[in-house]
Amino acid sequence: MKILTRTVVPTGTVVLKIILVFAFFLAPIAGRTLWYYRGVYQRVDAVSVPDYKSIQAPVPALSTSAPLRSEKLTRQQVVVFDMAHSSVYSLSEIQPLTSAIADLGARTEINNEYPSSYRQLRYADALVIIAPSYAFMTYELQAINEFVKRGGRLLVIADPTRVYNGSYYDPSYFTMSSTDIVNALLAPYDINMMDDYAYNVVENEGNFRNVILTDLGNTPLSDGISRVVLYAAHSFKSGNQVILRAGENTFSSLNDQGESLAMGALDASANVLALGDMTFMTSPFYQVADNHHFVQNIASFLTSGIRQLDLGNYPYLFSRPVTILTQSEKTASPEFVAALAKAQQGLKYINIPLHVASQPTEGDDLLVFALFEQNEQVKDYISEFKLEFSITPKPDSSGSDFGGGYLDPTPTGVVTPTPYDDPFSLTPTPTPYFYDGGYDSYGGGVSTNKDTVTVPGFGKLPADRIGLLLYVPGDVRNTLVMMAYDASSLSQLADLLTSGELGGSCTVQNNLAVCNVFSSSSGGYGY
Amino acid sequence: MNDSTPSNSRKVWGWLLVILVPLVLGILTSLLVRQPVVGIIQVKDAIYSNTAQDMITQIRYARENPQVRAVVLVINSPGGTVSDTESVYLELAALREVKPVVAVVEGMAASGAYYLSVGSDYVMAKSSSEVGNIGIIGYTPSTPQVYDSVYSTGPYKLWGYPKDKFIRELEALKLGFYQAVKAGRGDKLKASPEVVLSGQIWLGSEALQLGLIDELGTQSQAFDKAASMAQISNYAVKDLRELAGIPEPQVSSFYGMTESGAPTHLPLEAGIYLLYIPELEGQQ
Repeated sequence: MKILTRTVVPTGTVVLKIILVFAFFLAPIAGRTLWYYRGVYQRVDAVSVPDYKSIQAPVPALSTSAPLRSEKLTRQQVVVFDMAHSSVYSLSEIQPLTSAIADLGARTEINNEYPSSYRQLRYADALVIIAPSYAFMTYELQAINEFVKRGGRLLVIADPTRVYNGSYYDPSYFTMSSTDIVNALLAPYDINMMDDYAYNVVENEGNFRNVILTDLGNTPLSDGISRVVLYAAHSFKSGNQVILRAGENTFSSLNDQGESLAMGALDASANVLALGDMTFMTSPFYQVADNHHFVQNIASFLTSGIRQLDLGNYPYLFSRPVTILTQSEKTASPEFVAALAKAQQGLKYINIPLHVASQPTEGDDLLVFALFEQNEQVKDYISEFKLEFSITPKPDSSGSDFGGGYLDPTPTGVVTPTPYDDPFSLTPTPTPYFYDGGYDSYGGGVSTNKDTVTVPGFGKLPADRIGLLLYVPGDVRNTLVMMAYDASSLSQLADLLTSGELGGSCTVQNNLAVCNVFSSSSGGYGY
Repeated sequence: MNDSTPSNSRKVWGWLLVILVPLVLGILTSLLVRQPVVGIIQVKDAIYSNTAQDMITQIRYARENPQVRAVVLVINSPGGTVSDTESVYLELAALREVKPVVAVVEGMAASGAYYLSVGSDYVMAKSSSEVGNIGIIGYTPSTPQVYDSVYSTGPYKLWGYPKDKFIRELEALKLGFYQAVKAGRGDKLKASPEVVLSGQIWLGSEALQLGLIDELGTQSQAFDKAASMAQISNYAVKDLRELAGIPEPQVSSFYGMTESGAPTHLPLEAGIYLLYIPELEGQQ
């Protein structure tokens, strides 16, 4: 009974104990848990990552192929590429341009001479300067400027990606940046290139620095094209024609601003083209948009200049085959034959064919040899030079024609047969000379000859000590008249054709050159 | 009376037993409730194969270890390779599905390092931190050519890409980067795409104004933020490198060396990078 009594536990107490057991067991666990944890982390939104599968590389939808050019030049023109100033490119890179030039029938040459005399510019039609690293000397700039003044075409390109990294041990260490160098070239033409690059982050060709240009100006350079892409380009300031103008979203890296940036410009004469990029004419970028066509237009630009030749181009005064006029009735003297041979040799050197004829040949340029005493016969060619001749008449020469033959200035009346059996060829005989000045600087000796030639700007000159080169350029014919006192001095003039240089022997003024020669009659010594 | 004393004593002991035993057991059992950990992943080198693999190991450890309740990326990096950065970024995304990730920029989070920043749930930086440089950089492949002594089976086997395709692929990678920024920052991003993709580096204070980060703050504040997001308190901060048993990193083999042995800013190997390269000029 007692046992029974003790086993009867009030239900409430048991429940309480059970609750307490759990409570005291759970309390530390709950406390520690709550000490550390305030809740359960649950993401509110899903983790978002790029949809890589949907990202496609932009494809240029602009590519067009340029048509093959059918136009050919009427004569072979020459485009000189300047590689003398440590240019940061190779010709193989711009093969699309050189090919386009060749397609037009022109020839490319390289100038590697530094500093350069630019002798090639005497006959070249265009000069291309790309990304130079060496500065141009003053006389180089002058030569280029003269070339442009005479109608030569000049293409100047700098490219922000073409920078020469010189070192202390490198000769280019002290060179200027490419834009500084080309700006020295472009200064006379009111074109200034910024040392920047243009970019467009809104609309571009695959990259912010690949700028699409649709405002191409209204020049032959934009013929047939509507869209050009430049691949990192300098911008320009130009007071002249802009040929590549960017849109409103294209900015300069200099200030992250831009108002219709120019990336190509022509000077006022339309003979100087400046571009801020060369990559567009390299492979494969020339194939994008109308770039190939633009490159072809540049080739046309380079080969379509109208050169105004003057004696500064000597000896490259002829752009067509040359006819030397001779007298049909008379055969040349040995001196004339010698002069003719020298002329032919000189012209052959510059790839100009020469033939002898009694009449001017249509389409040919003209080379005329004449003695001073024959000035009346060549007056049609030389009238613009306003020369005055005071030459003692030589009886035997009065009836001669002008042209390749000449008459002896000292009519001795002695007819000397030549190997060519020329009954009229005369052997020159020195005559006494009584020139006022006695001693003169032409030839250095004392002349006894009173004959003179008055040349505007030079004054009265002793005829037997000088030779004249008189150049008359024209649209249909270029004419070079070589005049001297007698056969020997005329032969000396012909030597100049072979030497290719006037400097040192001649004083050149526009299209007239007074050269220091001596005739067999003048005594003393010559040049 | 005598009968009642033992009975009372027994009752007292019974009650004590009811209280103490479960209490002691509860205390002992509560020790199984472990202190939560905010794990740190240090991103203090360029992101390339070695460092990326270390980070991925730490991220996986954090994801699989319940004690690690949140992760803080402590970033001071110029970025790294595209593919390694993307690998880490995607591992972070998987981690974020289960645990919050906070990024705090110490010195710099440039390019690929910022890519990782936007792969976190919250980005903090100091006002003087450098943030941004969003974009891709790569070396243009050479013009294809052939060699007498080398044969390959395709015109681009040696060079990888045609030049123009390379440019466009950079652009595609840039778009991916921008999408990552958009995905990470969402409506908080105030800067236009042109500004974001300009490649600029901004100070932390500027980055805050542009919406590129969430807050200016220190590492401690980042830990608190991560803990708050994970809804934990009284947490421990532990380096996940140690927890995951990863040895200390060796000297970085990412950058090239000058002739004098000094590291350059340029990667040792050509490739495509999410990388800030200061003073590029003269090091080409």
